[in-house]
Amino acid sequence: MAVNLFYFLVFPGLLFAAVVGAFLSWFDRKITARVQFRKGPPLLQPFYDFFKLLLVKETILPKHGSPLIFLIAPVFAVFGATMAGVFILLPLLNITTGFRGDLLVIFYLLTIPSFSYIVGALASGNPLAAVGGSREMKLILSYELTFLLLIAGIIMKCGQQFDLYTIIKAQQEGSPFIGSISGVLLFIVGIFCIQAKLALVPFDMPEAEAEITEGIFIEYSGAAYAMIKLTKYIMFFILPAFLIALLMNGFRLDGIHILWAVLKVLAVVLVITLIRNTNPRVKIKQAIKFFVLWMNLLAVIALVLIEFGY
Amino acid sequence: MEEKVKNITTDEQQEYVINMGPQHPSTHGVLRLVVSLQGEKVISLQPHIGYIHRGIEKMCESITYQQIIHLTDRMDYLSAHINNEAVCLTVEKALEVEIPDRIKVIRTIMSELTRIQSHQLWWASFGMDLGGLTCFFYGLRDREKILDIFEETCGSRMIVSYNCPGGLMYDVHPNFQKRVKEFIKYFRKILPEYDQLLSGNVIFHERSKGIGKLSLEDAISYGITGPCGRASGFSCDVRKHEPYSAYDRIKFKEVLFTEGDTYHRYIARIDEMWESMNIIEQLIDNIPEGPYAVKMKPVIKLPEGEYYQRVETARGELGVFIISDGNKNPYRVKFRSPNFVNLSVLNHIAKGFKIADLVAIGGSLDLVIPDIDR
Amino acid sequence: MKKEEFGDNESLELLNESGSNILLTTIDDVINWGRKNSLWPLTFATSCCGIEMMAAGAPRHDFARFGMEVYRASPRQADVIVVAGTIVNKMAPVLKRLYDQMSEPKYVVAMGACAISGGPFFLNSYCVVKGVEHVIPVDVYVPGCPPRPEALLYGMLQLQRKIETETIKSRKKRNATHDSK
Repeated sequence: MAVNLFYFLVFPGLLFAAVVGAFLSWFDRKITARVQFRKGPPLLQPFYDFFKLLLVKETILPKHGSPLIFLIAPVFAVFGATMAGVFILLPLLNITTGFRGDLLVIFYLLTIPSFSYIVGALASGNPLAAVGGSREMKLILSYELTFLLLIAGIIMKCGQQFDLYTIIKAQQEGSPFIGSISGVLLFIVGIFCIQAKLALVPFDMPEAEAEITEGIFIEYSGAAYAMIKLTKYIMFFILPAFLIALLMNGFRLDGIHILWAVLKVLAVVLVITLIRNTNPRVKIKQAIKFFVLWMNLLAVIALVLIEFGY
Repeated sequence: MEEKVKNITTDEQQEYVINMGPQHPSTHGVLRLVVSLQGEKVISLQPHIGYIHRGIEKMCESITYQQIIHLTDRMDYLSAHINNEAVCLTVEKALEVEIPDRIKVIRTIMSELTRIQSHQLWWASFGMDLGGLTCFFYGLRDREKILDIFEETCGSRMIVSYNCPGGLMYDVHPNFQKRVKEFIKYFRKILPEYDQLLSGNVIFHERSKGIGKLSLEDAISYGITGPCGRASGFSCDVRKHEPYSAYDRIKFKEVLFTEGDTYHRYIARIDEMWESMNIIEQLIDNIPEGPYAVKMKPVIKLPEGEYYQRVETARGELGVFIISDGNKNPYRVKFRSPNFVNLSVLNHIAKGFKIADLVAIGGSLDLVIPDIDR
Repeated sequence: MKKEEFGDNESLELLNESGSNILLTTIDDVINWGRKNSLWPLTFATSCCGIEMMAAGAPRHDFARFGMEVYRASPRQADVIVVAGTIVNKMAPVLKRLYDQMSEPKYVVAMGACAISGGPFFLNSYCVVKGVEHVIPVDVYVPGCPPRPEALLYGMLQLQRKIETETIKSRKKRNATHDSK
């Protein structure tokens, strides 16, 4: 029990994932700044932001709306993200959970933050938040199938294994899945899914600043917004980690391999950051078309290729 | 108008109303758009103006002609120099002062530099409206270089107040020619980069092509001028049709398109930057010698009558109309501001599009709110 | 910037002297540490000063170095409202409302002559608010028409220093004095 709580709260759960995620978020912001010829924020900036929101800022509750749900939603988001983080990071850190079929659980847990955002947005009673919520819903509908196809591809590649630990072990003993054509296709699909899950440009319509002024988060302030920030930090770490686990060999935690693990995470984050900095925002219709048509097509091609052993 | 108001107040037909602004990042100031939506579709929208109405026209009636310059600066602050030029030209026309060539040429160069920096800022904020934050920083980075030139010559970065009735406040800085040439050389290299970053992107094409179409007839009947009008095929460049300052002695192309959608309003502005650079290059090497200002009386009194002068600002045609009763203050001043007219078309072209398109269309009209409200 | 480079250290020491007991001071220090290093401005600009505010975020000046990277479009999440530009009578209630919508602690920077006193529109204009402090309490004034981005940066650094001296008590006092106005 104590071990489980430790797993959940400290390592590799809440605390660890949040701290690493915050550093990655700083990395993202720094790279963004360098792309834009700026100097960028100091290293501790994500922590300043988080502590300011958590400790200092006042939380304003919506008058027209449901304050309780409005406040609970971000907590659920943190909970979902942390749970997903535990399930993703334990196998990655070479700790077997003995839980066969955790891949599907992770898949569901990863959608909890998005759903919590929607619930929170609708509970705030703000029309712009409602627009943001409906956009987020459409976005989830469009990318979830693609994400499922990606996971299906991995399962097929690994010989019907639903266990993340086995998948990582299979890669470490054989070759990483990204080394094949289908693996590359799945990687591309995965990157775009992460982009949409993190709601980064070009898929940041739910919180489009220039259109609907933060959209789903428009009414959040203070500690509630700090929870959302925390979720974002955690998601910013676990999603790239999940992709690495699925396709890029996972982590190995001995000697020089730690460096490789760090570099792998940074590389995936770098790709995400560069995509987000060189594209304008898509419209929701374009996003649906992009995922439902093109990404699904790509994923299906990958599945066919896997079937033929490429 | 009445019909629109009715639409906004009923909520039976699943319509709901949102307020964009007065504080909204994509209205570029304090414009307020009352948008009634069905889902995300814009049913109708109604601009509310006046949130930055400072009464400039009324203030002009109690100050002298030299002082007007400092208020027109703050009207359309991105075309500050061109606004001033309009007032100066009106006063000079009324007094029938012959302006030396040197002043004309310097005014033209400064106007074109102003136009480029205005379009750069527009490009930056248009990119930001579409979600491409990097565009914002690219645009502002290059804009700083023009502001440096302004600062060296005029002493101020943005609100230059460089014109005065009868010429210029002071002579150009000795470095002026060198710096301008350096900038042109630099910017010719950089401008294709803008294309790569934004207009080379598939997402951008899909978001802008065919969005917010404005036909030639509508452009003319609404009186849309500037790059927006020219993108619809309305040949309305005052520099071409009624040349002022040094525009009659240079060759340049009037950028004209026929499609009139957001994409072509974008391309029209990019092409205008190229043309502006051409104009500057033709003039920069042969600035004639001579005085930088004509000796004027310390108190300017216009003869009784009505005077009108129009110029081409970065956003369209700016008209200055002055009625004088022979005093040192004008009797009435009226500015025909391009933004006010351009705003009027927003409801017409944005109807039926999504709210994301509304932001793109509003961005492509390039509105400066203090110029609307004056 | 180093402490000696600021021009008004005496007035800051006066603010510092009105101290409180040790426990509260520690709490205040922790709170101020987060407050001061992460000041999110609201995207709010009425006229020309707004362009200079944008320039302050642009590559040459770069706000982000001091933790002011995130321009917030929603007043709920903003910490500081930079009143950049003229406030006219029609805008004043909106500005007050925006200020009320922001969550505590919130700060105001009056940027430019118009926001400080009405500036060029002080005389002869029938509809300009002569100074934004008639509407909301101002923490830092940044003069200029428009101020250079450097001036705005300096003003923001001054605001950070002012926040450092703040205590829970003094914050309450400040709000109370303004409410009674």
